[in-house]
Amino acid sequence: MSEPSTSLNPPGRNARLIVPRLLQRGEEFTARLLIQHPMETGFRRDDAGKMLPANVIEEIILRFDGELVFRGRVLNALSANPSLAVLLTAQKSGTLSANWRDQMGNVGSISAELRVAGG
Amino acid sequence: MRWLLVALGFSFAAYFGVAPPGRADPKPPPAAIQKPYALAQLRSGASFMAPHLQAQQRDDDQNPGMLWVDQGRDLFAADCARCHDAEAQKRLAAKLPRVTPNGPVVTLETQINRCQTDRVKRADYPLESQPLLALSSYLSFAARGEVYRAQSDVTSTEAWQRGRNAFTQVQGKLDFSCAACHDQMAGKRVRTQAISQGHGVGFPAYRVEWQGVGSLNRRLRACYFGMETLVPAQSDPILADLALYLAWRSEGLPLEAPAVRR
Amino acid sequence: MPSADRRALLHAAALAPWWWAALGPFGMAVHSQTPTADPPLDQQWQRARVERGGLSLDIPVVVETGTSVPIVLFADRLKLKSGIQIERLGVIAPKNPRPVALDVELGALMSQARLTTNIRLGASQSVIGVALLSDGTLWQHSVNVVLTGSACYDGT
Repeated sequence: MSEPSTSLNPPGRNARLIVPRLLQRGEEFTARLLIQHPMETGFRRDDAGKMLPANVIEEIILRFDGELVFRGRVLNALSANPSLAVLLTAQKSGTLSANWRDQMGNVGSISAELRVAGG
Repeated sequence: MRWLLVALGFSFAAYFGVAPPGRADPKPPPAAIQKPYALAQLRSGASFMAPHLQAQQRDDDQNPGMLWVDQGRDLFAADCARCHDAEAQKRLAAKLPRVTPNGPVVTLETQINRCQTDRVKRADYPLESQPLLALSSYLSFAARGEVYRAQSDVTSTEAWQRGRNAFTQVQGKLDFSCAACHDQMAGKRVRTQAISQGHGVGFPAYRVEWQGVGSLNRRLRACYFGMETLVPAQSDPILADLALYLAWRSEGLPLEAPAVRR
Repeated sequence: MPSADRRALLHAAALAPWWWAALGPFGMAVHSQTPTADPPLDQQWQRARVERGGLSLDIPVVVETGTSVPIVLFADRLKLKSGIQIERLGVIAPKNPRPVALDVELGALMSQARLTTNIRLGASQSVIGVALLSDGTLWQHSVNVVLTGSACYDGT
């Protein structure tokens, strides 16, 4: 495995997309997405006893140069501040990007450049 | 081996700390008050956590607390960097809490807010607010691996004594004291949870129960809640006194914020 | 497969969005918050072979805090027949208020059908990992997880 590194984060800093700094072609690596999100279930009350409205992330899409890596279609039980890690194989340099949307309609995105030696 | 190094470094530091040139104390130092745990026995809260939480803390990539650190780094660059060099602030979190002459105990949170009012000319950040947790997480992360060194005369201060009393006093419906669990029962279990030694070196920490980062202030209030006794207000100075006592008690353990706790 | 296991899966799976289109208005009401309507897979389901196959759900069997439980779902492609793909990975937690915990569609780029994440569990239960294959076969692996609760209540 290559030396891990944090990608450049966009302004807002509510997420990290973590990939190795430099990869060899054909190398398998972990891409990890960490999002700051309360994943509010709608079953909790605040200090005043009022129900907190549900707001979970409804969809997360991870793509590499536009091609689908995975799509989370139901993410009901993801923990607050969820982390998702998948294994990919480095074929060529390119951009890994994640987009997500929650029930309140908030959207988020983050991307990381993948550098593959000779790719 | 690591402990040996820490111990060596600590005694080295203590040697110079006790007798600074030109500031020799004519009175003999009072007999040292014994700490509940000897240096070699100290274990941070991490070692009492489930393996998956330990793994989450070991790997920053998996630690959600790092998101607070990211935000704190940005805030520091925007608000603090015009006076403070980020490099120079590396040890700040390891120097606090501190007793001030005639004043309350200064914690990292109160120090940040002091800057906020005196220099940045803005209202205090409320405790447990996102920006304050972000800044305290960032500064604590910057001091990760550093060792807190208590002021040489801390045990003779009223704040320390109040802190120790609060720690050892039996209170609440369950007839508990902090010490009854964390000094005497560490390693034993309540339900399936191992009782820790009660050190604060991982705070601000990401607690899965909170589903977010919280300060030592909040952790201590949660302890009061768990003991089924009156929970002090966030602003109650007893929490800073306790933080001071805890820091003295865990002196020698490297700081590890933002830790991952249950 | 033991019949009790199969019943549990059928019960939980009936709630899963992969099949809720087949359930009619009741299913719709229960899952009104489900964002995307899937093409009905009921016919696939009816002839689905449910087997352990190459799926493993890695999850601690005793958990202190249900708000964040680490899981690794892994469907082994070496156990696939040729020409068959793994299309979806999912987790069903029958005793959660929303039993469909997770449903993730896999693209071709994932080098292994492996997903590592943290989920919430509302109670002790048998957590079921599922993988849907392109021929309609369902791989499943269930693990009984005991939630012990924390030692000290925290009201902060």
